[in-house]
Amino acid sequence: MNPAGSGLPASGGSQTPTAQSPKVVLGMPAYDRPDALARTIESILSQTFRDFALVVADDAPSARTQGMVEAYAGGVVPVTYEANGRRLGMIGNWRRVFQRARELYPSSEYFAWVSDHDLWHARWLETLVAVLDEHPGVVLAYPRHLQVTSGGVRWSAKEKTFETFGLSDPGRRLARSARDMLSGDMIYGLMRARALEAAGVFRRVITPDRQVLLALALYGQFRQVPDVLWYREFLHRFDIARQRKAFFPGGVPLYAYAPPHVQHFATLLWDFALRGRGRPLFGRLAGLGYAARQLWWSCVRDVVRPKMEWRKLRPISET
Amino acid sequence: MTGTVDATTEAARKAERKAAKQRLTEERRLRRAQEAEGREAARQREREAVVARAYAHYLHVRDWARRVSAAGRGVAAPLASAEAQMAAALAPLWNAAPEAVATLRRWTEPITGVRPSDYDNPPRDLALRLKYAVGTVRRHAGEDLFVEELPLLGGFGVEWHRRRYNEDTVRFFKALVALQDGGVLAECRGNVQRRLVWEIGGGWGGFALQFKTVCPNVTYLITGLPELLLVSAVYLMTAWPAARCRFYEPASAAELWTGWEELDFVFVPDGAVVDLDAPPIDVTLDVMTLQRMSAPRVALHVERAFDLGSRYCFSQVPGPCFRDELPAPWQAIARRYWVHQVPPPLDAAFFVVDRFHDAPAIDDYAQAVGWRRLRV
Repeated sequence: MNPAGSGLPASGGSQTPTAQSPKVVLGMPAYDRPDALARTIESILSQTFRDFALVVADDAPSARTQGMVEAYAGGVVPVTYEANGRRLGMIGNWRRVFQRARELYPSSEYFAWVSDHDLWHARWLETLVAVLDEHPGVVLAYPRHLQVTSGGVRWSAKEKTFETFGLSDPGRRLARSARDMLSGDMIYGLMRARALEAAGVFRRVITPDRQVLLALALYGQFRQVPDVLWYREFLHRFDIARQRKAFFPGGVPLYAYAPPHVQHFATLLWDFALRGRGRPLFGRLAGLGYAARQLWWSCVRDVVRPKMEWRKLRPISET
Repeated sequence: MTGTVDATTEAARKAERKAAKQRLTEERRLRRAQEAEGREAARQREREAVVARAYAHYLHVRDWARRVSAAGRGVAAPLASAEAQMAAALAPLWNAAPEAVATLRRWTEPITGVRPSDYDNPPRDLALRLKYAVGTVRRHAGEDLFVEELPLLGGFGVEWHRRRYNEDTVRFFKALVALQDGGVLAECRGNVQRRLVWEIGGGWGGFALQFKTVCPNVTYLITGLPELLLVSAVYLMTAWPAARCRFYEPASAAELWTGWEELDFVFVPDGAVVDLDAPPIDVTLDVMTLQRMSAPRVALHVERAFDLGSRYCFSQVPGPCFRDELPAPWQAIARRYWVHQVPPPLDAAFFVVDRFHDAPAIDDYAQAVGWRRLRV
């Protein structure tokens, strides 16, 4: 058992904290999707669980986006819109929205990133909050989903079921995550904010969602709920070149061309073996072992699961 | 000499044993025949009791339907031709004999188009098609949402592994699975809070029966033409003798919802929809009903669902799925709800192909869940 709420560092100080933090904060890193934004925000504000706030960080500010978001402010759910002064890129914006969420609501328990184009079922939060409330050892809960494409809605190409629920050993959780996890589905799950903070939020590497979830696996279990509560827009297949461009608007650093597993290994090594960020849960030596284990199992994953159809670099409409 | 006597005695014993065995066999056969007759007589008595109960329900519901029709509450707005044809085809039921009520399910063809006679000697391709459909959906969603066709009041279907089903059963099963995949059913399956579900039209009561079987903790409101309610109310009351039912009365409309959490079914004629004053509705269901209606009648029902606070609006229409333009009922729903189509359960082989636009060939029905809009 690795109680996620204990043994973690205290949350950082706040700049302008609100009087009372809601239980959940949703962070939306927005980037120029006014076509889908109203529908998305309405799906979020329709949640049956009401004790949450929405923080929007806009990386492509426009009056239209701002107007749409602010049209929904003033209701029961606090909605905050902030435009970035300069383009931060996808990683920077995801980090920014988490940082602002923690500043505005420092004592909120749970956090989730929400996109500006996906859809969330009204029971999404209620269901996931219940899982985290009931299981202190779980740091991330996420639902099944449908894929929304230009042609409508479909089931994903394979049944994506993955969880580390019931595994008390951090090393086994990390190994299983490195081998089987599909991070793109899980990064929009509901997480314990302090565990996420300790895991490092988003690092400046390729597939940063996978990196942060691997680190998060060391802090607790992942739980998947069987209900379909998320409609995920799926317009492009995984494209590493597109990721580099979106992540590093100021120029792609050389290390970003290294294999993602090596980048993740380096960050885990730096965080947990050299800086000892895993303490008091685990020491530097254990951190070194975890980083090595991540590299091994990620390589095994690539060997036993060779490049799949969904990894081809084509937009769906061309298939 | 002694040997001959022994042989004779032995032969006599053998004959005696054989005769005794034959007597026992005959007695057993008779006993079994009598038991079978007894069972058949009991079943017959049970059938007669059910038919008598159904006919008593029929008389009660018919009196009520005539009363509300006479009070001008039968129909809300002029019927579309498809609805008028259906009502005309059901007109003989206003004067049904007990024998007709005993085979009520065989009168439902005008409602869903499923011909009972097709199932008297079901052709092999029909049986295989249904078996394949049920198998596919079961593999996708599991067993617990499947509710078979009851043998009640002339229930019919093909039988497979002691389960009876027909095209209606399969269609309703698909609707239930779509409600589950659309995240709606879980809301109605809990035991904590009583939910209020509104089915527009109500058909012959088949979907209501399946829904209430899967989600017992709901109060199920059915609004529809008097002719339809005459079928669905009689069917449901007969299927569930203990069900607590309430009927809309124009003179005491305000009392319709008193203690509604204690009710199983509430029946309201179509003409009372316009000023229906119900507690907040949780889910509104359209199982191939709105597609028969004229645009003003569709709009009336959708607006009423929205005004009554319905969070979700489910709709099933004939396929194909994922057509370029939304079906007419969904266009009306989309004015008040965000319409999200629920993909049909497909075989794994389809996924490999990954040609999404081929999906229409897979299923006969398109199904969507509308999520209530905040700003309209």
